[in-house]
Amino acid sequence: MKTATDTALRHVSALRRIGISILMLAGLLIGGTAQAVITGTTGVNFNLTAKEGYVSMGDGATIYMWGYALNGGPAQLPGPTLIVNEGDVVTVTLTNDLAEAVSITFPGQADVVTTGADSQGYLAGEAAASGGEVTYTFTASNPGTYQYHSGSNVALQIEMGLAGALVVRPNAMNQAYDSPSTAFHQEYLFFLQEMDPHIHTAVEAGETPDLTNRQAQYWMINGRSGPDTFFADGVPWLPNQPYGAMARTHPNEKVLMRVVGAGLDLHPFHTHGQNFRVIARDGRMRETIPGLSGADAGISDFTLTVAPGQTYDAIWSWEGKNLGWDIFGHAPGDPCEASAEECDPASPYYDHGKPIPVTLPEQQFLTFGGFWSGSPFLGQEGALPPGEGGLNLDGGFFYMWHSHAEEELCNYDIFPGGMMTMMIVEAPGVPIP
Amino acid sequence: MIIRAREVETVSNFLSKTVSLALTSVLALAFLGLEANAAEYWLRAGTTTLTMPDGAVIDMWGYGEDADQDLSTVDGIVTVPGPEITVPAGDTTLTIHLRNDLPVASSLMITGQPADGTTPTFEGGRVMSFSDEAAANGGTVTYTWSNVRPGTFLYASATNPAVQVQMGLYGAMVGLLVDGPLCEPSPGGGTAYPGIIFDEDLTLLFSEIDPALHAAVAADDYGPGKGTTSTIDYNPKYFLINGAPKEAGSNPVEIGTGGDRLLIRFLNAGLQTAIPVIQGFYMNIVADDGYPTPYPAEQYSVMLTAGKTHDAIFSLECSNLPEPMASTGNFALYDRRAHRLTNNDMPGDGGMMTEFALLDQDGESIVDICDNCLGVANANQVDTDGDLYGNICDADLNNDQYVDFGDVGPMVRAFIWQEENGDLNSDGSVNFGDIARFLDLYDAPPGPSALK
Repeated sequence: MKTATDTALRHVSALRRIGISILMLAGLLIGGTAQAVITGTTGVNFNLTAKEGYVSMGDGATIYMWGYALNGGPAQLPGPTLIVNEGDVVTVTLTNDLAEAVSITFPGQADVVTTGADSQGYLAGEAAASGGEVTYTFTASNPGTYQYHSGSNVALQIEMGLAGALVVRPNAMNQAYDSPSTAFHQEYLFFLQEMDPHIHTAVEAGETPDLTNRQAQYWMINGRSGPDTFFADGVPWLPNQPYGAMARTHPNEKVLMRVVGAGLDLHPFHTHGQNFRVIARDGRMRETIPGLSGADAGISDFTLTVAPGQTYDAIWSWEGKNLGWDIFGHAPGDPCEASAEECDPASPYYDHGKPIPVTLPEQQFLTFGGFWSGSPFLGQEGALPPGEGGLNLDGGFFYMWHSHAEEELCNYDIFPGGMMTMMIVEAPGVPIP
Repeated sequence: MIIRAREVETVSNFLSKTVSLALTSVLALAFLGLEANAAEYWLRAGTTTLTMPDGAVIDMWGYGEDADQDLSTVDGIVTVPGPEITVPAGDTTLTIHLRNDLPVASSLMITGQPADGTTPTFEGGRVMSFSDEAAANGGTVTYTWSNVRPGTFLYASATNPAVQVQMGLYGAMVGLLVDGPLCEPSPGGGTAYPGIIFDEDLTLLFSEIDPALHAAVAADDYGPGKGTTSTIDYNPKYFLINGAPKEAGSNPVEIGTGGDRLLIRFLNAGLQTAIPVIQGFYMNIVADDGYPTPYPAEQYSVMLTAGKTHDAIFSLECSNLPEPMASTGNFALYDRRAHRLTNNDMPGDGGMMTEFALLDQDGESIVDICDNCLGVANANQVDTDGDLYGNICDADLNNDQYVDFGDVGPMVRAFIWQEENGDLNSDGSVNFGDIARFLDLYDAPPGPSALK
């Protein structure tokens, strides 16, 4: 789990390397507000173990899996999110508790030096079955979003769960890459996988799995299928799935989406609320002039085709513009909180103090849900009948982010679930996380 | 010795080459465009078999190039994929004569290249073919493309594609913008798109086989009222690159023979998406369906959906090589849809994987593109004067880029004073062995060295 101390340490280390006071000042200003940081493990030396475990799906099913564990802990789905800094020399030591040879390959990282391999797998040097050990060392030369996965018996081992995310942070804080065009306020990881439980059951029973008839039945974000994606990081009842996938932001903030295609199928990942703009793929910025233009070649879209093996960075921002009513629920005399534009009659954002242009129906005509705060205004709460609401204590707006292949919104044919989570736009001032 | 090139450097190299040569290509085209030539092929659609690593013999349909360019007789070998159709630079017209020896009508189209005057065929109001057909059992047809577009394209049967394409009736069509590099002549090079100049190109064509469907077609058990009525249960078990799955003992593809710019032409003739990933390198994806993209996309992976082509170019400069490859020279390209990396569930790796081997022709465990003396094994890579010519290739002791009388004096001095740069064979002293080598190298430029 990432703690506030880890975060502070990372910031201190980044600042030491930069050593520029003006950036320190900027860092302090930004650091003054609460900020969502991807949960993971920081440092440069990582001890992973490939081992057996069980994951819990949204329908209550318990599925046998193989995962990478951190420091001898439980097998994780996905593997530990490794968070390093640009230029770090990263060492990953892999111990193998499984009954077949296993390894790690790092797509997009050049110069991976393998030491102590017991055998050579197709894509990487291996740790032998039942106790073998191998070490990989590489320099994280380029910032970006990456993944790692098994390089052995890959037809089976990726399906079994041997994959994780690698985040390389640039020298500048609160940027995805070494370009101000990639600046963000909040960042979230969306690590997309799917699994065919019949393969897992066969492996657990010691049978030969039927890979060419693979048919996925569970679809996960950060190792969890909906609605477990909503739970916080590290909840005790999901010991093998420590990462939640609920995202939160404030209006007008830039949200960095780090999206990883880690399974074997493609997924159309769809954001509600507003378009995102792709700034990078496979850990490289989309630039019209490489090295000069910044991330200006990406497209604006609302569905990201996420292919296995690829990674994507995108910036999403909810501006609430052109609504014709004040998303903040201001009275006409209130201060202009979000920007000067909301009080500028010439601006398309000129919504200050305008009430929502409908009369709310009486409660007996409304259908409620857990996410309804009782008020249509951001940050406001209203009267709710007994037993309704309760999941939206800050009066935020909930937007479902999900795979738009609708069958993937199921847990073994049961809707809703699967590759689905929520983005909550919270009122300014609501602390995140 | 190996400098770690950073991506910015790689890309700027790429761009500088791109920009400087783009102009030249345009000029060259202006000349080449004046003369219209024509490429002409004689193809035969027929049956063949492929043997899979588990011993299964699969009945295939494929195209073969007619050996005597006379479709009245049956000759030439049918292959999967079919022969690569190449259209040299400056050719504006392509003609393909097709003879069909299959038991059903068949045809040929090049996706993205409209043929002249062809018409779809219909039967009972249903479209049967997107182009003119050759009748079953020996029928012929001739197609002409009078406005051929350079680039990478897929050709395939235009008749009942759900069945005929996956039976093996597919291949690559490659049209060049300019033949051969303009500035650095090396055999096999060329210009693929404006500014995209390569020293070496490779075609990687991805496809799949569902053996049950092939068996049904071969046994005439496919069609209305027969055992298999549609491709709805398509479930491939074998996954091929250039017609072959990975198996134990597969030979790596040798690369690194010419210059350092390698162009890979990716084509997917299968019915499923493949995601080729290249190990240890980033590629610049420069074309999509045979059309150049506005900006190169730097990626280690390619999203290759069914029917798609992509061209990717990357630098094989020594400074761009991940460390282990400079000596071992091997790296992998694999489909990241990893459940397809199998040969019908046989144990071990299979499917859409290929290995590249960087050539080391003199066998000293330093690949040619990193070798400071090509053609002579010099594992120590000694280069006393640091001019990137290894001593064994470098009798140019006065560094005027030619071994001539001006080098004789320095060689004599090195012999007398035992100066290290005269120790051409690196045996620890300057002796008659070095004099003999000096004479071998006399009256020629120093080298060859891949680092210069």
